[in-house]
Amino acid sequence: MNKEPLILYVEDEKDIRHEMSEILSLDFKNIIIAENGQDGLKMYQEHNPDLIITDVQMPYMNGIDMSKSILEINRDAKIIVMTAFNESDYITSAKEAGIKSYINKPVNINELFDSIHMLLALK
Amino acid sequence: MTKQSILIIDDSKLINNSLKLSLENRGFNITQAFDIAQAKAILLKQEFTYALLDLILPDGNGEDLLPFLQIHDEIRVIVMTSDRDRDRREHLFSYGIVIDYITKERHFHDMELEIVQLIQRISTNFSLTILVVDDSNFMRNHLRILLSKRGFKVVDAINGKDALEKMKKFKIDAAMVDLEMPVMDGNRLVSAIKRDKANLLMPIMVLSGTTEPEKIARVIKNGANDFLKKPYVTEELLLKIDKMMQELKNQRQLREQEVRFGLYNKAIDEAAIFFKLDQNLKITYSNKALSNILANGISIANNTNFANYIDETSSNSLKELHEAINDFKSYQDIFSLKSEHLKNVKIRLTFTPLFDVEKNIYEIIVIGFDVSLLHKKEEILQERVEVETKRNWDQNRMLIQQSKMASMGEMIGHIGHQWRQPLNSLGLMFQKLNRAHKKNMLNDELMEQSTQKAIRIIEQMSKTINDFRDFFKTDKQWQDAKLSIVTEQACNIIEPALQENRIRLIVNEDSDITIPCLKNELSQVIMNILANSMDAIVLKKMKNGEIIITFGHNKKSAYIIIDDNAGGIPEDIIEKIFEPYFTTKEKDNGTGIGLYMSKEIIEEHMNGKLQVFNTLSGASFKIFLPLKQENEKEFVNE
Repeated sequence: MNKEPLILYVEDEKDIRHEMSEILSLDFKNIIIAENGQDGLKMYQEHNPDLIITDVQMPYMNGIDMSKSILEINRDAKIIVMTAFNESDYITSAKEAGIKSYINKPVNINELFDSIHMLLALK
Repeated sequence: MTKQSILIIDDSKLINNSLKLSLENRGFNITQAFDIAQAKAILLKQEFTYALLDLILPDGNGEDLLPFLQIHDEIRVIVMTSDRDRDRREHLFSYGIVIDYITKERHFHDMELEIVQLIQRISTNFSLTILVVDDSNFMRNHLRILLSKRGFKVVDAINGKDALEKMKKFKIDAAMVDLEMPVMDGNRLVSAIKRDKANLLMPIMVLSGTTEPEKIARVIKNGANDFLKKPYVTEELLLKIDKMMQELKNQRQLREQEVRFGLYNKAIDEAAIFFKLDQNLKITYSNKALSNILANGISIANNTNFANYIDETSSNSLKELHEAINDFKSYQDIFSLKSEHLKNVKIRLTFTPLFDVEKNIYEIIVIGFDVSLLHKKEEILQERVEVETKRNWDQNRMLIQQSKMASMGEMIGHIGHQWRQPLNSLGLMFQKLNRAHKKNMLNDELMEQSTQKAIRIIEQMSKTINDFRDFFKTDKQWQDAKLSIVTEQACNIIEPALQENRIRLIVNEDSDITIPCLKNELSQVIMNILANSMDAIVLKKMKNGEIIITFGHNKKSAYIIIDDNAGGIPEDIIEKIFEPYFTTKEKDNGTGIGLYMSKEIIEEHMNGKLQVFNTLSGASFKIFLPLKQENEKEFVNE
């Protein structure tokens, strides 16, 4: 059996963050959580997680800017961005930045887990 | 007309000076001479229109001056004498410059009056032309000179035929006709002239040497106005001419007045309605104006009862008219009359009963004016006002409706913001439970914990709905509210939207006070302005957007100031932003009603003031509200 993957989850909204961490913990044992982009970037640098799941709109540093910084460190970083349908501007810039996957909000968690497993399966 | 100049030649200082004084007062230029020598000296240097000549002078006879005066063509000599010798007087006319005699030995006032009348008469003679018809060259010349000096224009003819030719060429006012003439005699001429109706007024004087009464009678019968037997006394001729011409002038004046009066009459007849009634309101006389209106110009038969023409709608006026007449009083009202050819005839009529000493009414005079047109105009005006009022009202209703719709749209938007997170949470929660169940990981603890959390979230959502419903409910009642509460209410609603756009909201409290207000409306205004600032910040894609609310109060009023840092409102539109339908936003975002309604609410509903200014960094909206309301009337919104 492979080593348990480490997942970084970044979300500023308390209720959502709480709910999502519970959901993720159903499938994954190693989850680290950040409340904004700035913290998320710091935690990425500290823990080098296998996968990053992030919200877009957040204070201090938004999900896209954080993702760009992470991709500068590691071009192959696996990032899933959760966007609301009214954030099409962000999707465009996310694609430009090289983000591989994004998921629409409200989140369908089967879809989310499919994406997570698919990305983790990639070499 | 230049001033007429008169030379008075009289040795009597009393007469000379008196005449000078009174004639000067009448506007004549006067020169005096007291003897022949002096008169001659003056006449060498100066021209005169008239000379008043006394015949008995200290250095000779006045007649001696006549040849001298003859040099002056234009001069007219009036001889003042007490000499009654007819031949001598007749003789002086032969100089051709003597126009008349004024008899002395009278009160000089009468003399003066006679002189003035003579001069005035001559000056009015200038417009008249007399046709002189005589086959005698001498007579024609004699009359021409005499009449010319008398002021008349003279046209002459040698016989009747010639006279008729001349009458075609010249405008002739009067004629002096000889009887015995070749080709066409005076009698036939007079008949020919008078046969033309246009000449009925033309005076004709017949001069003839005939002594046959039949001839004289015939010519007078044929239309001659006067007869003078030749040889005549010049003074008599002049008298007759003066009298004849004066009559002509009078006749003409009369005719002119008649014509003028006729025109007046016609004008009055067309403008004013005039008719007479007997005591039983039966028409005894009616003028054209009345028949024009009631019977299409066909005259109204006498004895028709006027009441028949009165429309039912004016029956009350008719009743009042009867009462007034019975009281011997005048009555005035606007009557609707039944016309044979016109609709909606409205006449303002004044009825005046005429009665004798025994109070018997013998006649009712009615004068009236057609006011139908006036009425129609008034009605049109009234209609226009009603249409306009209704349009304004409709517009206002539409505004209120639109504003309600806009509010509703805003409300839904804000609810969306408030609900997005809890809905997401609930969605995730159910998916979590489902996944846990499938993985056999759903235990009592997770179920219980999730249910509690769901209930909490749903309660929160329910509260949001209640808050919104309260907030958007229009106040019907004044209530006392704290500025802090009103402000907070607005901030709470808009906060999620501000957060989403990363706009910082700062609330400064200078002082808090309770004021009477329409609480929710005030909150809505604040929210509206906040939303406006937010939109401005979003439009500029600013990252450091900031809105500052400051509230407080001074002695007179409470204030709420909302500042933003979005750069302010362009000066060219700042005057217009409170106008309805004014918007700078794109179609989907702005209705252009928000700020208009805000101003309405603050200024019309709450007697306050809403103003906008530009600051260095952005726009500043200032709401001022009175600390006390004069009369807190119940405000009922649509």
